[in-house]
Amino acid sequence: MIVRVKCFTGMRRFAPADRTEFDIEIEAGASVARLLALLEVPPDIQPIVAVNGARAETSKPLRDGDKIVLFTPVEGG
Amino acid sequence: MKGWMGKILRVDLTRAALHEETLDPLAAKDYIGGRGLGIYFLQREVDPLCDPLSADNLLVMATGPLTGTGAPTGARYMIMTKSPLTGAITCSNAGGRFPTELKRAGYDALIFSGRAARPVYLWIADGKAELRDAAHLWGKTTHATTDLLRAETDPKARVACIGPAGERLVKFAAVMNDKDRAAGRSGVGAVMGSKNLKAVVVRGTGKVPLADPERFKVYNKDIIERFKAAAKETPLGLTINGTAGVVITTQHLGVLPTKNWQQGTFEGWEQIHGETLSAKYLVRNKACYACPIGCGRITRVEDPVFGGEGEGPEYETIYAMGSNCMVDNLAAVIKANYICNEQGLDTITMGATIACAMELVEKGHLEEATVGRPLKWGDGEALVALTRMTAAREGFGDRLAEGSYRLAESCGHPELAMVAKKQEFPGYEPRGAQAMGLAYATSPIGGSHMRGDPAYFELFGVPEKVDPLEWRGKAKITKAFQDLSAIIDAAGLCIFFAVRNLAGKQLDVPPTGILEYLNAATGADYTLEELIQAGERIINAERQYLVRAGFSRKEDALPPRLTTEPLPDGPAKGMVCHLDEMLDDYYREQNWTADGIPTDERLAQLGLDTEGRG
Repeated sequence: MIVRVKCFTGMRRFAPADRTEFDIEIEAGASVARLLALLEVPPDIQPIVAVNGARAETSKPLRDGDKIVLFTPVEGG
Repeated sequence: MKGWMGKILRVDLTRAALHEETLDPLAAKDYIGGRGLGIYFLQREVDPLCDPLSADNLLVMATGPLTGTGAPTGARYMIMTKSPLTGAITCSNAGGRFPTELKRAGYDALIFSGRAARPVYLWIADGKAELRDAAHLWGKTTHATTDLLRAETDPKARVACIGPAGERLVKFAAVMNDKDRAAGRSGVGAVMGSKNLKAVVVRGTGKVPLADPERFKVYNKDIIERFKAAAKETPLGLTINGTAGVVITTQHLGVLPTKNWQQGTFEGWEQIHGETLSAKYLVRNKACYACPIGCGRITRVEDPVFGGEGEGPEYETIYAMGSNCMVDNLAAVIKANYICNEQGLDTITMGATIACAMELVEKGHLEEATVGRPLKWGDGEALVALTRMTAAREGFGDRLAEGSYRLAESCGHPELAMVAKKQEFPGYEPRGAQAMGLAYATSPIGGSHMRGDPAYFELFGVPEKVDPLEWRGKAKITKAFQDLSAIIDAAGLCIFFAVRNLAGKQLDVPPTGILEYLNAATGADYTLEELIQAGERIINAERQYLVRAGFSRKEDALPPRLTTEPLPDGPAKGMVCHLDEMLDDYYREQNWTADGIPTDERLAQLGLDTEGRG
């Protein structure tokens, strides 16, 4: 299946060069954790994950066509 | 004295008389500086029941012992006075270059009393001060005033001034320094306007004396090297996108206030996010004195309607004028921000008051005919037009100039004002970040995130992640962050650097790094316990001032929307803010009564008398 991934802030460096938004092929039923492994995100980096606009845990199974947002929180105010 | 300059300048505006006095070394140690010195003088000299816009009020501008020393982000000063917006105190804080210049001119603090018969400005050049006529500056914007004053004093002088909004006593007028840095909140600019004080102009070429320059230098080098190494490893989001980069976090945690707090997420968030700001409008970063972060944004907008060049916006402006008004046109938000900077207005209260007006219209409590124009959600042109009208108190702008609470109350619906103690909230929804609600309710200035910012642990995971939806256990850590923020504010530092780099990595955030800096700078030999107690002393002295002004638990409140209406959307859907439960815990942590009054025992532990003076 194919999912669409968008990386922001600290997660940018795990995206393919110069592309913040990209499609990636992943086996059917794979979880968010599997996606992070595929992008070679080290386990000590724990991004905030949203799937189709809703916050998700890394155990969440993905479906074909899902839109995934990955980012690390930035402070400010 | 070292670290402190040891001098305060008193400016009696009624008599046009100036005199210097020595800073009491015991008061300096007990209250540190900045915010601490502010409450020290307000407690002694300002009747808590006085009219904030009368000659009876004082305006204190105070630096901290680390301001101007070269400690990272030691660039800040605090304006403290009785607020015309809330009737409580102000703690309006700004960085830039002016505070360092003031310190180097020889003063820890300036205290303005009385009221000048005609517009004046204060000119200080290396310890020599005089009041000058400002009639020719009245009516001028903050930018024009700054340029004219530098031309007639010294091209290198630094200026803090009010714009037309402060002159017209807009209840949330700001004091702007270095053109675009704002001591924005609670109407400090209106107090300056009420005193006929247009500006303070400073040139200082001296140095801040340090008690142990060698120890200071070694520690400073170590901190900066560690900071730079970490930033190389993981580039700082604040440097890349400024505070505007927070939008993605609040949106995805469901705490981005939208539609006057009717929602916690905004469909148009990507259009107002920091990355969009960087891609479309950023000219360059701007840093305050001695700041290695550089979160300031110099921006330019090419647009026939919203074009211009200036500084901003910050995250809070983007929430207040963007998502909260449902304006997804970032150019319109930036334009309204520029107007606020030039006219001298607080962007948070301005945006939040317009959002409140939009809801009053939506619900039929306010006629568009009264507003004098259409006022629908998402209308960027209305946002800009109403901001201009507010600064001028023109037409409906005269009602907006009173802030959202007085506007909503005059329409019969005060519950639609999203305020604590009549001051509008910053951009973090307490239904999805429970401790934030407690911090808003108990902050001495009303709705504010800067007097103990739970967003750090609830949203950003600093120093460690805490579930934002859980209310149990939040009172203790909120109190710890409030105490820490009092120390940061008093020392003259910026929260953005200090929380991550100068405090312990536990949730009780011991201010270990600040301790090291303060002792090297001042030689005051603070113990960690004494420093934490100084923070607690400031919080309790402020609280007791509010108690004397008539505040108690009933004012530690949030609008019913946040405590009774479940959030309809996003990850915090279905939640309300459990304020009452947290307040009980919080007062116990503070050793205050169930009505929120500091006990005599608690005051005595901190060396304060029953009125909160020490």
